[in-house]
Amino acid sequence: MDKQPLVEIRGLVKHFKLPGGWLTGTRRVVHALDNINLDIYKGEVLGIVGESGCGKTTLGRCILQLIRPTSGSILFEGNDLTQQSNSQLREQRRHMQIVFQNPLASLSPRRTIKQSLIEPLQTHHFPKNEWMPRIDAILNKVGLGSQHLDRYPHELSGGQLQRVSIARALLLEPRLLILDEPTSALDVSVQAQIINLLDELRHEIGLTYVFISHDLSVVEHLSDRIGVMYLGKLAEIGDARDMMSHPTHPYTQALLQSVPRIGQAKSDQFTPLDGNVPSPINPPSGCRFHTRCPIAEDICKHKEPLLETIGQAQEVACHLINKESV
Amino acid sequence: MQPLLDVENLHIAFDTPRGTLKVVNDIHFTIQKGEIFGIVGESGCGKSVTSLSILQLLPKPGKVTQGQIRFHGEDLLTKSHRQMRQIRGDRIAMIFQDPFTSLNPVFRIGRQLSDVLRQHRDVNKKDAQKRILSMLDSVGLPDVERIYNSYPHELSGGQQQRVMIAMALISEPELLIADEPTTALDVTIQAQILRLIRDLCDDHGISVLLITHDLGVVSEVCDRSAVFYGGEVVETAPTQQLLAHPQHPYTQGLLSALPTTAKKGQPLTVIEGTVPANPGMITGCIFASRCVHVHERCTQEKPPLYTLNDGQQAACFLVESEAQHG
Repeated sequence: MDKQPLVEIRGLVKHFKLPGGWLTGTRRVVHALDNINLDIYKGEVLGIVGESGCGKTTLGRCILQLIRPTSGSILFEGNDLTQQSNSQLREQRRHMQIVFQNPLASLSPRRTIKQSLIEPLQTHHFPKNEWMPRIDAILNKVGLGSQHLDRYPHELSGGQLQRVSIARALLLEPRLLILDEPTSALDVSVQAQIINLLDELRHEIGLTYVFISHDLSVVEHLSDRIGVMYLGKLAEIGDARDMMSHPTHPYTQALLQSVPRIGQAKSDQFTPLDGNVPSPINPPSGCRFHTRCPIAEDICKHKEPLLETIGQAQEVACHLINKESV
Repeated sequence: MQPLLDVENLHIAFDTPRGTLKVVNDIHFTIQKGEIFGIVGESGCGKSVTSLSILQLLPKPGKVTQGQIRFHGEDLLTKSHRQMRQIRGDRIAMIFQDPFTSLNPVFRIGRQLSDVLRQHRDVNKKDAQKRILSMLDSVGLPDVERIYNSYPHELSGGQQQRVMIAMALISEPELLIADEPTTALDVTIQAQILRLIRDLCDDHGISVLLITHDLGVVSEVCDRSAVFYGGEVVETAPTQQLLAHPQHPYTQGLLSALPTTAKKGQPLTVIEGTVPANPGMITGCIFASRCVHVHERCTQEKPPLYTLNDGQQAACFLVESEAQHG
């Protein structure tokens, strides 16, 4: 394999402590991420899907150290980010940027687009004479023009604002771009524009994306590999095409079947998954999916399944699947 | 057969300090008994105000300026506030996107349902409780005694939406209006709720007006659907026909902008431009400014809804030659 990892995540854990209970020592803890092991390869688009509370956003923020993990390591080009000080990290963040879901909330309402775009260049001490050429070049790339520079965020549409957010993230020529639900706040016709833009930029610049979304069809469209998360764990990860055509983990299967698709009315045999996602404060023992899993057996309640490789490049955390493949 | 709901020539406008904003213009549609009718469209297309106007719940300064909304042949727009109160929640019920903000946080679920029931039906407390428990059970909630005594925040999003549906159905309405009922929910929960709505409709013969931005949801549950754009109906047809053979360029554009498995690796088709800001002011076809097939006539004259085969209607001059005369 000639794939080089850009980011290596090993044993990543993030627990959020909830307030209260300090007297009796019963402080409750949200298990947002538990023992995540993951490589992100240079030049790939890694899609991360999962339902609310599965930890996908926490994962994105932990990679950038916007949230400091509880334990584990994150190697970015070989440097462990978790060991770095804040000032060292600031230097590193030139190379890794993030785009958020709501572009109106991620741009200051009191600054013009130009002011918002200058800020990262200032922070990273770019010489002043480089500012405007860089900004003009990037605006051109994302399909905006200099006529937008003196506008305020409220004067632009949602799609235009998301283009500005992408431009701002790309100004510093990062190697890794984390996209956290970048199209979820947009209408279908605008969503298509942003998806096309991201796809173009990636091929043009050779960027690495981590694309986080709850929308399977968008993730499928853009990603080379997809990781499926459930309650702070990776349930399955593998090649996007393979996984979409042959999902192996029972949760991935249920997720794919649940997505309403055009022209394929669900057969009467389809039974929606029962129940709700359990609380990450007290995640179920063993396999976290066993409370809703249609094929769960006794072992699933007690023993936690680990990610094991099946097929060519697919990894699944399920006792029953792994048993069969052995 | 007389339709259950017949919306004819509906116009809705908002008086603002900067002039009148005509948000819905000349809308027609009918809902038959026992069918699920979908309204799809992007933000600002007028789908929500249309649904609110049926129950006279339009927020100020919005008002219906013209048209009729006939329920069993009687025009709802001529009813007094007192008469409307008898209809709302009794014969026509409504559920909204966000179940948590629709429930009162300080009262228990049981109390909130019995308020609705006893408003419309002469039942004593004991019978009311019995009926509520059986209703909670029939919308698929587990452990109904506990839910009856719970506060809204103690339930999950999916459970809250089930409670909302139970509340809407408690007085056995003939029409249920559901405005984006699954948009705030995760896909596995969405699948459960859509299945529930479909079952309720099949088992009890109630009609549903389902408003959504998601063509997949429409495909899954709606018998017939209308596509809204800029406050007008641009196309209406039996759902599967609408999705398989869209006639209006906007419907075609929406469908091709959606990412699907087949389109992986290819750029998505984009609808260029944006929605007109004040659609009521446009003299020609509402979609002319973004349409790829636009010709001179489109900007001068508004196309009527042409009736095609099998109950399909499209507001586009391109289908004029195929339209049935008379």
